[in-house]
This record gives sequence, structure tokens and C-alpha cells, in this order.
Amino acid sequence: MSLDNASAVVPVLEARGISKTYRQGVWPFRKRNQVLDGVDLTLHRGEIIGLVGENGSGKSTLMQILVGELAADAGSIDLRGSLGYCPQGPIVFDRLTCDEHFELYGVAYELTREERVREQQRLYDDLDFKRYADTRVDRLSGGTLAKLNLALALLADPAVLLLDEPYAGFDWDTYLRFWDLVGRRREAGRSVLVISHFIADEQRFDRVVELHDGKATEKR
Amino acid sequence: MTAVAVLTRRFLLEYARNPVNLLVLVLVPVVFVWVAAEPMADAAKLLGGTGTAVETATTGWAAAFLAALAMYFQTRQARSADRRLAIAGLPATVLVVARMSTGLLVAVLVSGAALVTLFLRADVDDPWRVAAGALIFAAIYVGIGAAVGAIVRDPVNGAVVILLIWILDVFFGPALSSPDQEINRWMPTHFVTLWMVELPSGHAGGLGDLGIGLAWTGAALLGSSLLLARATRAGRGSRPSRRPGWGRQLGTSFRMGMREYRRNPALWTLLVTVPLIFIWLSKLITNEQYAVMRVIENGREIDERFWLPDAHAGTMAPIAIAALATVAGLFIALNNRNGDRRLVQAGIHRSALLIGRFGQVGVAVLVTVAASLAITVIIFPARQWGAYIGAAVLLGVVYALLGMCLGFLLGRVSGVLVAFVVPFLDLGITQSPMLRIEPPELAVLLPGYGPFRMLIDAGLTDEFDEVRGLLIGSGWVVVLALVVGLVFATRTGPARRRARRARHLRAAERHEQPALGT
Repeated sequence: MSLDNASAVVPVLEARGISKTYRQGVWPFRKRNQVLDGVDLTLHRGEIIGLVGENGSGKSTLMQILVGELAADAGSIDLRGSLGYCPQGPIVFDRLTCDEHFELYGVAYELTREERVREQQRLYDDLDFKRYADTRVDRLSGGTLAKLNLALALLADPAVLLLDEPYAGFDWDTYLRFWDLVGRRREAGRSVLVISHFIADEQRFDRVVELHDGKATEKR
Repeated sequence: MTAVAVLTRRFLLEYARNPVNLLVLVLVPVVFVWVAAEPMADAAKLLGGTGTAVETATTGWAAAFLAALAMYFQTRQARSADRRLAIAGLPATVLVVARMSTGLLVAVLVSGAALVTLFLRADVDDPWRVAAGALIFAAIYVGIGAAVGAIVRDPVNGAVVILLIWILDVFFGPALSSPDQEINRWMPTHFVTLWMVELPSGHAGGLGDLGIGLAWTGAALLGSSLLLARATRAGRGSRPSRRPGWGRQLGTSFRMGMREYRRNPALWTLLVTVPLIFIWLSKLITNEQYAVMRVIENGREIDERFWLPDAHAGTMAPIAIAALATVAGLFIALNNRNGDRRLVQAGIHRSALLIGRFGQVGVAVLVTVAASLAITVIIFPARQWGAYIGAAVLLGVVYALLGMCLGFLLGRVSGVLVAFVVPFLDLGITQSPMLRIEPPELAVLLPGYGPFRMLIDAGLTDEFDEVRGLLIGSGWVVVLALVVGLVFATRTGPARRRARRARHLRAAERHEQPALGT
């Protein structure tokens, strides 16, 4: 087996038997709500996967567990490479500008100044929000804020990108730009997991996984 | 050593191959000493200087000016070539030593020209002393020329800077101005001029005039060498920037945090108006009467009577400081907690981020203390201002850290409520000397106890006796900082236990994968 084939077979992200139960209320009236029940999920190099499910099906819980924000009750996760995460709600610093966010995240990702400026420029162009480079985040529209939120996850060009409802708030043009960008990532061998409560363009995904009753099942 | 010798020889040859250079280096000192010395000596007498010394000093001045300019242009013009040598692998120290040696040898040449002219023109009592003095002059200015060359790029600007330094040095030097003027003693060649003309300054201390002159020489040469090494470091300015490490992460998180903080006008309004209203009002509403307070003086507890309108503001300022510091710490922690978690996920070192936040809180405390004391100082005559300010800062730090704890643990509304109630209960009620002669025993358990005892002691007594208060306050700082660190680590740390730790791409990994869009 060639090295390329081997890297394509070995998943870049592999979650096995992930379970999570939320406990609500106090004893003896405590209720248990099992959200995830032994979920398995693999993501290979160059794959785009959609993760769908009804409201409350555990999509965001699974995403938080994959990112490491939440501890699973059971199961394990193997990640080979770097991870980028775009949370559903923009997590930003209100009074910093877009440029300042890129500078701060560039330092966090340990990018050199040149690398950061190059990627930043590319993301401004790809998502078309360069004109807001010097605008404070608390003065951005919801759509532009969503672009920045996504761009911060993409800045370090991660091997695996986890996107939680990434295109909520995008206009049609930005939606198409987003898919162009994801398509280029696929060509470069990066993997993307998109969470959404509904998926309109199934043909854009390699696989669509549905969360239902705490289990993950592949739709096609 | 061989490399230095080879380079120095080549640098000198390159310099000498421009005949104009040599001509100027010789001609200018000759003309200067021959023509200008006498009129300048006359001018010196009018300005209160020692006119007879001027003729001798002109040799030093001429040597200094020419040595500085020669060194400046040598370093400026060769900057790119020197960088290339450094890129080729030549150690910066070798390069700098060679450049400095070249400058010093040129300085010997110009000093020689000036000295020969002086010896031809006038009788000199101690030629060796004058020669040594002129060389010291020139060496100091080699340093100045190299330093300016390392900093100032434009040749016109560089020449003007050197001219300015030289003119100030000459006109405020002991030959043209009175040597007793204190400001004149800071001129680079003040002491060496006096030594050269055998007029002891009387203010050179143990080193003597020659010693300080040599110290100036050493400092100028060493300092300029460091600047030159920095400037000639390979590819400086055009080299790709380094991958940011812990230090830059700390610096950037602090800088961005301060930038965000600065853009909160409501906070600045709060910082100015709260102390103004609170402390000023406390002065206005205080009854004109005496109050007895228990203070420690010379290690003994004594009950002393104070005129309340004078003392009250000094005890109210800590409440304003503590409340504002708590709010500052609270909001820095609260507003950044989600963003900080995302930054840690992105790869920033938690310790760098936390120390950056501590720095931000530290600045907020200093601003808070400054704003409060700016009002306090008008209406409250503290007996020991230094200790009073120190205690106020300590109190601010304690409460800002407490605010950070609240910010990590509580929500916005509950956090603000607690942030206002705790300082009020602690300092306004429990510790207050207005309500009881001394605080109750259990007051020692509250965070404001130590710093408040210090404030009372520093504000109302002449001697500082509250070492215990200082230790208690410092203890609170350590404990609260640890708690903040622990909570911060818990909140930003990975929840995943069984998963393999993931890191973002480093350079090597990035190179292994094809970049997007390529």
C-alpha cells in the first residue's frame, strides 16, 4: 500500500462509542436525558461530511465533545492533525477589529506574520469582507460577523474543520463562496464536518450522517 | 582575530580609495584648529567660559566631529553589504569589532591632523595629555557616530543629528560655558575637556575627570557596538518574522486586551465619575466634629482624635478603589471567558493568556487607583503618601483578583451585585473606623483587612507600622491569584480525557500538506 493510499484509509478523526447523558434537577427528582448513545463517526482525508438531526438530537453536544469543550461519559476520540472549530454563535472580542482578531488568532495558532497576513488576505477575498478589516466587531452585521467567525477557524489551514451551522446568516452569494472555499479544502486534502439541522444541497457532501435517538446512522 | 584584522584592513582600504574622504579628514581639522581656535577663544570669554582652554579644546572638537561623521557614513553606506556578510555567516561580533576598529583608526588619523596643527600653531605645556584628550574626544564620537548610523537611515538626518549633539556639547561644554552649571556636566566631553586643559572640575567624585571621561568612552563604544550588532543582524527587517512563541502570545494577548479595554468609554466615565462623586461627597457631607480612631504609632496602639472632615475622605477612597477594581476584574474575566476558551482551543498557551489578563487587570488597578487618588489628594492630607499609595494599589489588586474570580464563576448580573456588595460590607461597614474605634476580630478574615489597616496607618500616622497588614494583603494576593489561575485553567482546559491531544499545524506539518489555493 502506498503512503498516499495509507493516509487516505486512516481516518483523520475517529470517534468511537461516544455517549453523553445530561442530568437535570436534584435527587430524588433528578431526570436523565441521554443525548448520545454510542455514536461512531469517522472522517477521512479530503472528506466533507454533513451531520444532521432534529433540534435537540445532540449535534452540538457531539461537536463540543469532538472539540474538547465537553467531556463524554464514554467513548474515545482519535485526531490526527490539527483541528479548526467554528462555533455556532460567533465567539469574538466585541471591541477588536477584524484585523486585530486575525493578529490575535495568528499568534494563538503560532503562525508567522507572513503566513498570517497571506491567509488573512485570502480569507478576506474568499469571503468578501475586506472592507470591514478595520471595523470593530460590535459594529458588524450578523452576516459579516459569521464570516469572521468562520475565517478565524480557517486561518491556520487545519487538517480537520468542524463547522457548527456555518452558513446561518449568509446571503446567497456568500453561501456559494463558502462552498467554493470548502471545495478547495477538499482538493487540498483537508476534511470538513458540517453540522446543520437541515441540509439543502446533499450533493455537496461525500456522506451525510444523521443523529437520531442518540445514534448516528449514515443516510447514503 | 584574523577575521577582524582582514575586515578592518579592507574597510580602511575601501575608505582610502575615495581621495575626497582622506582630503576632508585631514583638511577640516587643520583648518578648524588653525583658523577657528582664536576667535572661539575670544567668544568663550564673553560667554563666561575659560577662553585660554579653547585653543586646546578645538583639537578635540575637530577630531570628535570628523570621527563621528566618518563613522556615521561608514556604517550607513555599508549597511546592506554588512548584512550580506552576516547572511553569509560572518558573526555579528566580528563585523562590529571590525567596523569599530576602522572607525577608531580613522579617529586616530583626524586627531593626528588636528594635534599636529595645534602643535605647529601654539606652545603646548603637556602635549601627551592633549594628545590623549583629543583621542578620547574622538573615541567618544566614534561611538556617537556608530549609534546614529545604527538608528538613523537618512544621511541628511543622520548628519544633522550628529551636528546637533556636537554643537550642544561644544557650546555647553566647560570651555565655552561655565563648568559649574549642573546641566553642562551631562555633556559627553565635559570631563575630558577639563582633564585635557588641566582644570580639575571638582565634581568628578572618586573616578576623577579622566575616569569619567574614560567611562563615557567605554559606554559610547559598547552601547553603539550593541546597536550596530542589532542593526547588522542578518536580514533584519526583511527576514521573515519568527513563529510566535510564549512571549509573543503573552504580549499580543495583553496588547489586544488593553486595546479592547480602551475602547469601552462607559468604563472610563465610570472610572472618573465614581471617585469624583463618592470621595468628594464624603468630604462635603461629613459633620464638623472630632472622631477617635485606634492607630499604631511606633509599634504601640494609641487612640487618637482626628478632625473628621479632614480624615473621612482618606477612609472612603479605599471603598471607591475596591469597588472599581472589583468591577474591572469582573468584566475583564467575564467579557473574555468565551473568547479566551476559543483562543486556547486555537493553540495559545494558557499561561501566556492568563498572564496577559493579569497584566490587563494590573493596568486597570493602576488607573483606578490613580483616578481615585487624584481626587483624594486634594481633600485628604495623608501623612505617608508613598505607603498610602502602595496600600491603595495592594487593595486594588486584592479586589481586582476577587472580581476576576467572580467573573469566572458568576453571571453578569449576579457578578455585578456581588462586586458592589462585598467591598461595601468589607470596607464600608466592617473595617470602617467611622463606625467603631477598631474593626471586630473576625474582620481579619475579610480581603480588605490588611490593605485597609495599611491605609489607616499611612494616612493618619507618621510612621509605618502595619507590616502585619502588608503580609495579610500579600497573602490574599497570592491565594486569589492561585484561585484565578485554577479556575481559568479549568474553564479553558480540554474536557476530553480519552482523546489524543491535538495541536494545530506547526511549520513542518504545514509543509507536508499542500496549501490551499496552490
